[in-house]
Amino acid sequence: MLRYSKLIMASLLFITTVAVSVAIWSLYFREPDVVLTPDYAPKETEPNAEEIPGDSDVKLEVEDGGGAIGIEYVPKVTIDLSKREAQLSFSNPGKSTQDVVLQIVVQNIVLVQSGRIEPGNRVQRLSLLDGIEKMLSEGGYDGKFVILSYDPASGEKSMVNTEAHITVDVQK
Amino acid sequence: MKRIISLFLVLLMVFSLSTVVTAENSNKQDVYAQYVTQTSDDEIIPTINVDVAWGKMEFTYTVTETKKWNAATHMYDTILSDGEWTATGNTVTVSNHSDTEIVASFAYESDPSYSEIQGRFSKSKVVLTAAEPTTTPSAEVSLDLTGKLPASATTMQKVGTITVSVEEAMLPETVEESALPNNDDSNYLENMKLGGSFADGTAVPVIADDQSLVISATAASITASGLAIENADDLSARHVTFDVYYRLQGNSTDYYHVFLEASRIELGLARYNFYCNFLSTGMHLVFDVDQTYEFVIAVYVDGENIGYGETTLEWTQELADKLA
Repeated sequence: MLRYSKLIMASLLFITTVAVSVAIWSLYFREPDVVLTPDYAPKETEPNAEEIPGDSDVKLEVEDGGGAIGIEYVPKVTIDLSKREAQLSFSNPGKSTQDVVLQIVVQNIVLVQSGRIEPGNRVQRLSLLDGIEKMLSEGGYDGKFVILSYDPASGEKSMVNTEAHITVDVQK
Repeated sequence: MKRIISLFLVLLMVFSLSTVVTAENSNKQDVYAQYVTQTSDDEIIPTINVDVAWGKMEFTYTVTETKKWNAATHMYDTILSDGEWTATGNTVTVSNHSDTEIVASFAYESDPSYSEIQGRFSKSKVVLTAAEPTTTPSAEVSLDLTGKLPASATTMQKVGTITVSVEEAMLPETVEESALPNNDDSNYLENMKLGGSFADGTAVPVIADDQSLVISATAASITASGLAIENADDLSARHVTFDVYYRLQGNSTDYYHVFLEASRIELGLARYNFYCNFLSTGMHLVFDVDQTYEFVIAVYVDGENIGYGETTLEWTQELADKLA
């Protein structure tokens, strides 16, 4: 009987150890899901996007079948871990012919991916992707905006991506 | 008694009021205002404002089919020519509306299904000066494809993706020709080359695995400078640095100047090879493909100038690709 109890105790201890290990791994070491670049523009517009005051909607000249974006941004982004958000300045002005989706990428990891930002709109804050806050620690990082362009009519992704070098300051 | 005190207080208040009124009447004060523009001491955060426009980016791979009579089989053999690429709307234009210089880089990435098809831009990198009130600096580059498209692709297929990268320019400083260290013949290092071959007297640029461009100088020349460096071990233990000055050959413009450090030193056949990573400068070194650049390179060992050498370098697409 005593031997039987010891066996149960050992089993319970083993199960507890495994459970705790999985919990620790899940909380601190598991990498977030890979973020795929959408081939078609998201239907939902970015909830944090706001109209650019006084913006012109005169479009850039574009060759037949081509596209154009006019981007305006500050190459410095602050990430507030407590709010789980990135504070930035990025505009897709009215002269663009494309909708865009904005990614913030550091060390090949996508930290932020916006919804669709239509021409004439800007974003000043974007939410971090799930789990990203556990990967970041305070400090400065080199990063980039990846600007994906989509045809507003068909939603198809353009063959031209634009990237812009930024610095990312992570704060608690 | 109370009446007297009350009366005294009332009189005191009345006189006080009248004193104020009198003061206001007698001391009119003009008020002055001045408009001053003050520059903020806060850090100016540059805003980058760029337009990127592209064409249709459609390419056609044309193969000519020729029928040739085969007397043995009494049938026509089909002979296919090498394919030729033609393009529609293969340009990308970048315009700079920023108040700062920018560098735009262009890259083509093949779709995994069409990895044999490669794309090359007419320029892999352009520098656009800051915008001015009446001018918008812009540059147009074109994309050409090479490689074979499979015969199965009879309709337009996505074969690759273009990436345009934009960032604020960090260009090397420029130096006037008169400031170069090449005015002392006694300090001249012969046979300095950017590259690894002296067989025909020309430099063959060599890119090492760590993306270093090799600067070579004959061991004899360096030894002759009086440092008595007799073997690679001696030199390897020392701190070798270079002041590199370059400009387009035949131009009379100022030279660009970068400071490089030898990350690895090897003694080859009667010459030293210094491995220098040009990317480590953090600067945008802009070279145009198929152009030749003249270099003046001053060598320092442990901070002491041991001489200078001169060489030229033809910037090829291969170099641009390796150092991208």
